[in-house]
Amino acid sequence: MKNCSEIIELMSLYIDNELDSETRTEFEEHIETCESCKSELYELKEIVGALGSIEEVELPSGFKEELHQKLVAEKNSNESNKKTVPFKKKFIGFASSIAAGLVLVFVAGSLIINRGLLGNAPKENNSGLMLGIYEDKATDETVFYDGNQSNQAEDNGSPRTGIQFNKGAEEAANEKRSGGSDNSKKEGTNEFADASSYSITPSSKAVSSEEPGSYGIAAVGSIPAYDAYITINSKDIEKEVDNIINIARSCNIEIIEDIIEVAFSSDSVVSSPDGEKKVLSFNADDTAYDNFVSKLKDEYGNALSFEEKTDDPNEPKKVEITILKK
Amino acid sequence: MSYSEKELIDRAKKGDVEAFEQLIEGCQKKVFNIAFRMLGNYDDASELAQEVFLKAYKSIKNFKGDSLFNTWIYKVATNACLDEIRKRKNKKVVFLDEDIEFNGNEIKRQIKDDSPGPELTAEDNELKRAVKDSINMLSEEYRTVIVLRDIQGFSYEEISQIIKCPEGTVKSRINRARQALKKILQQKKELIDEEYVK
Repeated sequence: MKNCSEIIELMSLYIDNELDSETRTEFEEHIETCESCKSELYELKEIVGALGSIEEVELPSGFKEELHQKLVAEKNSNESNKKTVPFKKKFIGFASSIAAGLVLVFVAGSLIINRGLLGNAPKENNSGLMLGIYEDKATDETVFYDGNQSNQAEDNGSPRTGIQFNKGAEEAANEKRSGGSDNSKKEGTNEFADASSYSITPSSKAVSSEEPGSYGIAAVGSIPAYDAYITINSKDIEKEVDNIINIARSCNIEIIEDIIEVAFSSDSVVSSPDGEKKVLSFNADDTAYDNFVSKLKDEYGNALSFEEKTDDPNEPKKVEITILKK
Repeated sequence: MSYSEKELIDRAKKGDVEAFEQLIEGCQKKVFNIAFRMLGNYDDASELAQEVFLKAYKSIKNFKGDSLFNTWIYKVATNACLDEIRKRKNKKVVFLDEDIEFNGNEIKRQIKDDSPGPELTAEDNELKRAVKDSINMLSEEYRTVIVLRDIQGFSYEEISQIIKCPEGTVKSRINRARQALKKILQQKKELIDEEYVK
């Protein structure tokens, strides 16, 4: 015999016809004799009935057309990103730091180092002043910082990427004329600090045997190097989500709150006892990703775990990050 | 020319918009209705439903086929609704704080705007109207199962896949949700009765 509280637990199942025949019989017997349960059942049935009679609403007019526009727009934006595929991944990583203008500092610095404090101004420089860091694997033409052949001794072993600063021929000519060691040193360091006088152009000389063709240094719209998902398990999900979004923004990463179960192997998905779980996703290039990850490590320490899966070298790396916070 | 769902999915994963649209043809209306009943507002539901499909298009490459495609879409939709509801919960608090200096009418207006204006049809009897009103006073957990089960008619199994909960949990939650709804209706009735007495 069941008591009232047990019967109440079974009410929904009874209404939905989910009780097995034995339990159902017990249930009905109780209802027969118990007024309070009877009225409880009656009221619940009424409510469920009312809910069930709520009609479906039609899609708003123009819904499909509007959606179609958005889908097409999304597709087009994806395709224009893919046009930069010819750039090799490792170059992209390097290229983005170049785009940040760090190279000028690098060049100015190495210029000083190379020339020494007094500056070994090249006395004869028929190519104009070419500052270059070249792929030097293949050719002997590779030249280092000040176009002076004798400095090539530095080392021919390590490959470098090809970025060439071509000064306008005029400027180079002027410099040649003015050149005593002190003057040129002064001029040298000053001009290289001035970004605006240089254009970065692909150098046909900087062709290595590995990389055919020339590259521009456009890191625009590069393929994301990482395609990552963060699964958060926490008692206070909202707080963690906001936290992570802020950290990501500080690394210029945009997080998409995409709550979809994405695990590569579903056993790796951990649930906290409260069952509160959320998944975020984002795309990032190498530098941004590394930056973000180290910040996450600072923030979450042991609560963080990674699973990397790289299927295809031509596609972004897939990473699943799990945060398990009590 | 008709394609099997598998073929459509493969094409959609490669970005084929038409294939994706064919895939979602059968569930668009349901998604919109889920959003409408969860959020209580027609325009918000329309906006959210669009977002849901766009999200799904972007992340379809992650669909592993371990559930029906539609189930996956309903999962995305339900989660999006829950997110939106939670976001609004926070917003509401801010409103109150900000408006505390204003006169009482301002506050009332803000609260009223947030609460849903359910579309009531002339044929709705009193109970049905009350029920529609009361849904949005349920917690998001209870609201979800009521919408999915009693309004949309999903099975226990489907619901457990959509909200990622064991079936047992779904069953007991539905029971408690209905009881909670009943309580809200009772309180409403008591308020009305009080009014009459005055």
